[in-house]
Amino acid sequence: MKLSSWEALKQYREDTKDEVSLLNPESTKIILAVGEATCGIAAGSKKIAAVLQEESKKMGLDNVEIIPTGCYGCCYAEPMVEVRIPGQAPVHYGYVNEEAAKKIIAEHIVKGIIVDKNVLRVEVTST
Amino acid sequence: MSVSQVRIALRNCGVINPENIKDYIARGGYDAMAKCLFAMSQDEVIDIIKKSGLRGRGGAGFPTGIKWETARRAQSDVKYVLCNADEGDPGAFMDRSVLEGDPHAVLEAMAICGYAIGAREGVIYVRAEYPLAVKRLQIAIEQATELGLFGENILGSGFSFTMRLYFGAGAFVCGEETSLMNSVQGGRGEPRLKPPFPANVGLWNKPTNINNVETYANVPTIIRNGADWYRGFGTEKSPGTKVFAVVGKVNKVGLVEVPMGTTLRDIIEGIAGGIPNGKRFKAAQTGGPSGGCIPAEHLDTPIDYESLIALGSMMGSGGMIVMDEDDCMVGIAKFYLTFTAEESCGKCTPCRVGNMRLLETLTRITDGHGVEEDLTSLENLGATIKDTALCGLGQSSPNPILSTLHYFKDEYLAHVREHRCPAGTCQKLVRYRITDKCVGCTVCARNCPVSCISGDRKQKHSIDQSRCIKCGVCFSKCRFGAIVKG
Ligand SMILES: Cc1cc2nc3c(=O)[nH]c(=O)nc-3n(C[C@H](O)[C@H](O)[C@H](O)COP(=O)(O)O)c2cc1C
Repeated sequence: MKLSSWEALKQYREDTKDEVSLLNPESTKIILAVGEATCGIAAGSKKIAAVLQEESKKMGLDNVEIIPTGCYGCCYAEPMVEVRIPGQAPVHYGYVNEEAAKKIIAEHIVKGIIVDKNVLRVEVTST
Repeated sequence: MSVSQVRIALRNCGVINPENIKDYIARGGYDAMAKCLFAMSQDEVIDIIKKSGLRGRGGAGFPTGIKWETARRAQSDVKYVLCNADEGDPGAFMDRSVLEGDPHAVLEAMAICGYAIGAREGVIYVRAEYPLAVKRLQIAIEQATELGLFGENILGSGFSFTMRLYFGAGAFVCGEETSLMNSVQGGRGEPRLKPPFPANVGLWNKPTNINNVETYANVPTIIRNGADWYRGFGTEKSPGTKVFAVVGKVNKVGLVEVPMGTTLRDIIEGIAGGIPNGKRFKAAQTGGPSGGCIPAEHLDTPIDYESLIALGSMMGSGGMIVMDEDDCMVGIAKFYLTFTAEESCGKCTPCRVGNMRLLETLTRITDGHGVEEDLTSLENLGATIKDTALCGLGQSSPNPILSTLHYFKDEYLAHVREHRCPAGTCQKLVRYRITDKCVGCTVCARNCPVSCISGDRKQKHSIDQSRCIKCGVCFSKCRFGAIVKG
């Protein structure tokens, strides 16, 4: 499909609102963004993404979507996972190993308990 | 200490899914391009970039708006927009991260530039060693073209722009813009004299605008939010933010984007979490092989293009390598010279031969055969190479030597006068000694590959210096901290 005007671009933005992986208060979708830039992949993030996928399936969660994202700047703390639950502040996790990934699903996603040990606080003003 | 980062170039990195154009569009993507095509004249676009004060992030800090204006004024039916994604500085990965995390930002900016200067084709020169960046760029180009955001008659505006990738084979000199263009044309990656500048005589001898990845990544936000907004960050002469790849002896290795004018201390001790293992900070290397080492006494300097040059270094593309007391500054200078001597294309004599001579002198010093006159000859030859080399590679390659000689002369003197390496890293100069902490456990003696450590059980051991090969095995095996080097 070719967009044929600026209006069409704006309309496309509106129409695809529910398909994007950004935090969306109106959606019921939970997004797990896994750092898959070179730094993340080198630290094993592909494996972590697979574990998150597997665990969500095991728990019967069908509203969880796992997406790759770029480098958030914290290469030291890769693999990183950002949890985006509609209506809640996003949570950045760092140093996510398989055990932590399982906990993120079992504790944070299922029970709503944040996995404190892996929370990463980064002060960033986004533009 | 808490220092907040401001993300402009990295605004989408780690936020969007870079392989899904819908994410980019949801964040306002391609609105800047549409705004230019439908609501701004070519001159208005250039004017906003000029007013924003955006300067090139690839090294020299040339004002981007003026570059675009020159290319716009150049008369030609064919013009090109080039993106320099060669990123050759050791330890730097800002551009790779932008391309891997937000490829559309760069593509959108190139189309904006194409509209502004009157070009219909964009070429991204990206190193083949960045396979993931290449893959994400390819996906991005495909998805954007499919939506009619590139190609013929974009969004029905009448403006057409196509995008192409060209893969570099990893030669550092190909990051230099004229070499880069030779390389795209299938020629040797060798530079030529400037002027004429690429804006007038560029790719295939046509007017060409070439900018760095990060420079482009700033453009869409500037168009959307305006020049005054952008000037709200950074300093008068260096507006906006800069991305640094902070590596080496810091607790938090990674990417940092801060307003220009932030101090080195805020970056290194604040955001990057300071030096590990309680060691002391010694120097920060900025500007890659063209830059220099900044010592502790200048940690509070607000960083911008001019202040770094005043300190004998430069901004470069944003690599920042932090060193602690265990790093030998002569060794660091030698590391960079080894790099530049190898990467010199050989076209001009000062760079081809001069850098080799500098490297030989440094090697003599780190091998323990240096004399004090060597330091003067490093200075003289370094200055000559800077004055006479053909391109930026040679014109800046002596900087790592000159800046370390300036700030860390004592270390050079220890090497040439006492044949001693104070940091204990120059292998040929290092001396291992066993101190009174030795309990006579015999581990060192049993592990020494040349059996040059002797001593009775439960008695202090000693090393026969004449036979020691300085491998460091004893040092790492000792569990009592009884062996020292220096
Ligand atoms: C030896 C050498 C290597 C360079 N490598 C790069 C590079 O890897 N990336 C880059 O953007 N600019 C590099 N430059 C600077 C480019 O020649 C050019 O100035 C830059 O791409 C212009 O873009 P800007 O104005 O956006 O900074 C290099 C220059 C020299 C002399």
